[in-house]
Amino acid sequence: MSVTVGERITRIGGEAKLYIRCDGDTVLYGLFICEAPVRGFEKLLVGKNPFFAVEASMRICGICHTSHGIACCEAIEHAIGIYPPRDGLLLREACGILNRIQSHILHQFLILNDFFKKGFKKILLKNLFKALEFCNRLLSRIGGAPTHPPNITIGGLMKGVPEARMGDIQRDLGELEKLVREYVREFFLDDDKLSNKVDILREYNLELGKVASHMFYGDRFNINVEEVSVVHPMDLIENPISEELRGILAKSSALCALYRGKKVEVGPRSRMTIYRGFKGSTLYDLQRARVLEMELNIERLKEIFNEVDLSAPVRTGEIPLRKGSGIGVFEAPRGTLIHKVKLDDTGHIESYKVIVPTMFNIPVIGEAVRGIPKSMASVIPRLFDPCIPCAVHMVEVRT
Amino acid sequence: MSGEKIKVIHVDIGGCEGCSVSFLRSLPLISDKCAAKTLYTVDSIDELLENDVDIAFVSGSVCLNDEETIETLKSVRRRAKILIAFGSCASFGGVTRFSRGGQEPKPSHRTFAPLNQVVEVEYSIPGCPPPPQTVNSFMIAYQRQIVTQLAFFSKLSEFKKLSGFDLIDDIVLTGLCMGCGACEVSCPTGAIKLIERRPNLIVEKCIRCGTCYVRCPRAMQLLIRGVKK
Amino acid sequence: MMFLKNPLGEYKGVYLAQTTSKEILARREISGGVVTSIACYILKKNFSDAVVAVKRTRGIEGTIILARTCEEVIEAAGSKWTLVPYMKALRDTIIEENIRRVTVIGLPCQINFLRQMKEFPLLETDFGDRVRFLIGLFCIGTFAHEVFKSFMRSMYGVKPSEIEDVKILGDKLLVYVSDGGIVKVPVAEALKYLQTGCLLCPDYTAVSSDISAGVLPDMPHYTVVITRTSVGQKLFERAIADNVIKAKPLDEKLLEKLKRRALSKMHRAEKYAMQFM
Repeated sequence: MSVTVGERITRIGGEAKLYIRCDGDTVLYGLFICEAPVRGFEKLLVGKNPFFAVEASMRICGICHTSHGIACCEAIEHAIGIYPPRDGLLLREACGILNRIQSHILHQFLILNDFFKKGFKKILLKNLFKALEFCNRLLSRIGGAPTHPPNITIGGLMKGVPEARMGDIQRDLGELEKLVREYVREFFLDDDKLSNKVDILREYNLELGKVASHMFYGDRFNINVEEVSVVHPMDLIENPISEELRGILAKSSALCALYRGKKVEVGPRSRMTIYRGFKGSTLYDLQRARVLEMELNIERLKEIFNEVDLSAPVRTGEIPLRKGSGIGVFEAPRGTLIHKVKLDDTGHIESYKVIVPTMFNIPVIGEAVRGIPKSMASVIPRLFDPCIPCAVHMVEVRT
Repeated sequence: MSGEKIKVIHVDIGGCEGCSVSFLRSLPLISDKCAAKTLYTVDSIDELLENDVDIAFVSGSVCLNDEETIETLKSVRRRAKILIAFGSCASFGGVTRFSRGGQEPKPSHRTFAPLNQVVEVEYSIPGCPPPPQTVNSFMIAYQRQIVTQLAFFSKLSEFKKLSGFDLIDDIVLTGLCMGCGACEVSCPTGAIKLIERRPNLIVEKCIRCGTCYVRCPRAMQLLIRGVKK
Repeated sequence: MMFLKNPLGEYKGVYLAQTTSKEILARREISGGVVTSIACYILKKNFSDAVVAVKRTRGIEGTIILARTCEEVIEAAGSKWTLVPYMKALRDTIIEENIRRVTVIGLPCQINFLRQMKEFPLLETDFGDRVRFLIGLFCIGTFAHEVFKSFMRSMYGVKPSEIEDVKILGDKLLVYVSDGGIVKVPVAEALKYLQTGCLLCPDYTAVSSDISAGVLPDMPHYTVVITRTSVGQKLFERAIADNVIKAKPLDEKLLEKLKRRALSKMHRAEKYAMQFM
């Protein structure tokens, strides 16, 4: 048995290491340890006005910003008992979808080197940068900016989209669709263009339970938040824990999430499996689901743009700040995201908790590396598109 | 100009990755000016942290309670000819100025400070996040040595705190504001609204990015003249 | 981001110019009508989709307009004496109406801000790439609205609602009152009521513009024009070639006067800045 080896993983969103224990060339098990500093968003929100929570929570992560903003708004709206108007919700969903597509496109950058043969890198980069800019343009138009969109607010959107701009939006969406379709059909699904690492990924399965609350938005009724438990990675290891292992685990600045006491996979494959009958249990399928999800999200966007009435109000008239508790659930690019808020008598935040998808996936990454060749170990975390700033915002351990 | 392209890296030491994404998006714009690497493009972390570089763009604020982060920052400083604080967290602390610590699993992570609290910084570029074009503009200014622009960002690197609150305190309350409206279009969260020709700060929307301050004509004039904050 | 080494900033040429349009000259009275003419020319030749300017609403109050036609530009012509914070309205209009190229006519502080935004955007929502030409107006300072109005009332008995228009001729401020009369206020006296913030500004001629323009009291029916960038110079030359304006280089004596005025504003700025050191 060889000693646990820790390697800083590159081409992921943030600072994390993968520690693996091997038997010869095969991985026995792995620990995905996030090591970025803990900025402490839950604690820093205590005592603040809920409007500050929306702006601050987006800055938990510069990749899934909109998802946090939406989950935060949903939680606060639930707490104070208001509901955005239909067209505000539709445009908010559009923002969330654009963030999801944006994040998935970014992810394709990160897995380029692993998935594709070297010769295609240049043209893929060109295609992906273009697609990203169209996606950003759309999010700018509807959300106000491509990162940390300021239009997302409690009660709906700060302002709507002028009818006159719908033509430009449809045009941009058309371009985005073309580029995404080209990427998916002509590159990703073309085996001749894929590297041999992909062949290896197709040989290994990962079949854990899956959780997803909705295909495109989020639904607090589709997941029982009470049954989500948050634990320190150390608690997932069977005793006795060696000194060496304890030292490694103590470095973790992220906690893990379990559902009904079990490790569950969240993310595109969970959504696609539960809501779209996706079949694919290999490690390669984790990425295939993500890529196919992009196309479905574009279809949903088209639906939204056809359905939405741009002349209708996009924000509810009254935003009372008062006592209450609320839960907001949104399907972030990486999986189910939960924000929980409690407001005091003056409507200020008494407590705030965030459970991010990467917290569910941290132990799942550990499972996913079992039995794979050592040389492939660093690829596995990337398949889950982990978001480290999200995972280390911190969560209070239940005692 | 023949010869090797200048070596540029981008590192995030604890931010939200928003600045990292912005920097990634700038790569097509700056590819003619430099050879740039980020966490999103390298295969091994050594490519970022082991070699000497000409310019290091560093994002995220530094957690003063985390030895490893401080060491990483110091190491980058040693190996970079020029270190740029890229983004508001790195420049002035940004939203992490609100951090308190006290949270598991690292309750000791209490204080987050701008980079210049720990290392010497040549230039600070604020923004939450700065758009990709900013990186390109900087590289152009650097290549052509456009002194006025470089001096501006060099001056900013001396500051450890700038926010909408500072704008109100230093410019509005002192009577210096003339109502030009620049601040209103310099806020990423829409926290500044001009009411009867003077800025009003919606306190709960200010995330302390400092962009309003650096774009205020009066504020910058005072800063450049060396008025102490 | 201004570091003024020369009182006039960097420039390619300084001219004395006048519009060839009788209509514009008549409308403008005190000025050579050059800015108005150039703005019209830009629209006519489709160099820009819109021209941003401030139109007087009442007295010294104004509002931003995005002029698409020559008529709209002409209606907005004239000194305003106040700073209208139009940046947000400009940004929102550009986005809502998807305007690709605007020409902005503004005061030095506004022009400097837009130039900075063009060169070094710090937000994703910056729109510097949509700003085509920057035309700066000479500026000695702007009035604090309430102060000016109460000064007019207490010193000259003119109610705020009675102020129709304000123009400058030589060393006198002409305040047009609603009963048809004109109250003449010595400029030296009125300058006491400039905004404090303006007193710190060293920029008289809008050094960051493509073209700067203003009037010297010695030549009230002409516009002094400073071309600064190759873009500005080219535009100016084309306007002359197309007989929209006529111009000749500004003679030495007047150039010296212009420099002295600019220098005195710089000194004033220095003096007030010292208070804050």
